Amino acid sequence: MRLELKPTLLGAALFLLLLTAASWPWSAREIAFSRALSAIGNLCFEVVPVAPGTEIELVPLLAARERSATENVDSDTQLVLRLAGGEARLGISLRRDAYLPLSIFVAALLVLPLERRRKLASLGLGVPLVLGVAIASVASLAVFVSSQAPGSSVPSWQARLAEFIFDCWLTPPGNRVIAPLLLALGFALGGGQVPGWFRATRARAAATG
Amino acid sequence: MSPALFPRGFAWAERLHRIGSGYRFLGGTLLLMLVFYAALYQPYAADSLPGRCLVRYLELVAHGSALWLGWLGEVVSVEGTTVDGRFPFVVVLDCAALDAQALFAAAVLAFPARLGDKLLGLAAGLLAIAGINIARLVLLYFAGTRSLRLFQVLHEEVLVLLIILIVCGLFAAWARWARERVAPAPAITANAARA
Repeated sequence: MRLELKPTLLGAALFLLLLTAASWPWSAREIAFSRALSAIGNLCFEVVPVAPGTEIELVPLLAARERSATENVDSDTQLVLRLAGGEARLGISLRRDAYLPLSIFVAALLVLPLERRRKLASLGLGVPLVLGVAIASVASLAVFVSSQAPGSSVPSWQARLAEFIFDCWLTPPGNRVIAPLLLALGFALGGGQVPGWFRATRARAAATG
Repeated sequence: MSPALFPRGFAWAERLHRIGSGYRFLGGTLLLMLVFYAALYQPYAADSLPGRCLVRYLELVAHGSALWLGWLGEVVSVEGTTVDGRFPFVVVLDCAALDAQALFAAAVLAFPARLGDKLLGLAAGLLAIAGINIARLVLLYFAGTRSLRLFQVLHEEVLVLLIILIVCGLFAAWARWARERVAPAPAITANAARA
């Protein structure tokens, strides 16, 4: 038991250390990340229209802006929605919604006991996946907000789907941690790496059942 | 002595079996989480039964936080889901750690273990997470009385991560305990270690 516990605790400590280093507030890095992801997101929104009658643009801010009384996050990016009736601007934090999940995924993957080649392949697949999910989340937020506007042309099925995603995916704060951790675990399982306690339980259940 | 899961020379089959087992567990966890999330995070009408249950739970969390704060010498009062004191706060759905509880419950239910162990794990784990969440709210209260910035960092980044990591730790501890409760088989352990 001690033999198994020691590497687990060491791994957890290393994970926290990596995560702290990667996510320590640093405005220059956050602005650069916001710029890069906004550029990728805007390209995606041009290629794939998100909702009829709605134009979306991500505008990175030059410096993180403190939240106003009506906002629940300090924003580093503005989500601009152009609807038939006018324009709306929402402050969003790509640090919270994309950078931190990405950091959690990368730190978890670096700590998991995988072969180096497998680790690199997992990073190559996982990083675009995490960023893609972040952009898709922004798009679903935009659709949800658009669908609430009077005279919205968003189809009802898309509005319902956006509402479901908003309630079950965007609202629970733990998802920004759970999703990248489960993704890293998924890659580890693909490499045949299963925690000892899980492996032994399966074996015993099969042997005794 | 229990038989080995796969004979010698069939390491590849054992590896495939292991990967399949892992993915079944992960898939089961994700599926159950989706079900729990769909049930918990629906925008229920306030007068519906689930809506009333959720509000009642939030009120319980608010009362629990006020109780702990009272033990720590704070003068606070509770009205509904609002805790009033030096740093007043409202307990909303996001503050109830329901996502953490859904993750724990899904992982325990998807894990291959005895039903009795699962029920025991669920009861103990969910209670523990509820207690940890109340401790989180108390910590946030004191952080808020000192600095709004500190409150925001703890609330939005640090404690969200910490509570999920604690849930992972609780699950790993339960899974280890559940493993020990399945028939002890040193031969199989050795076989698994060899693989």
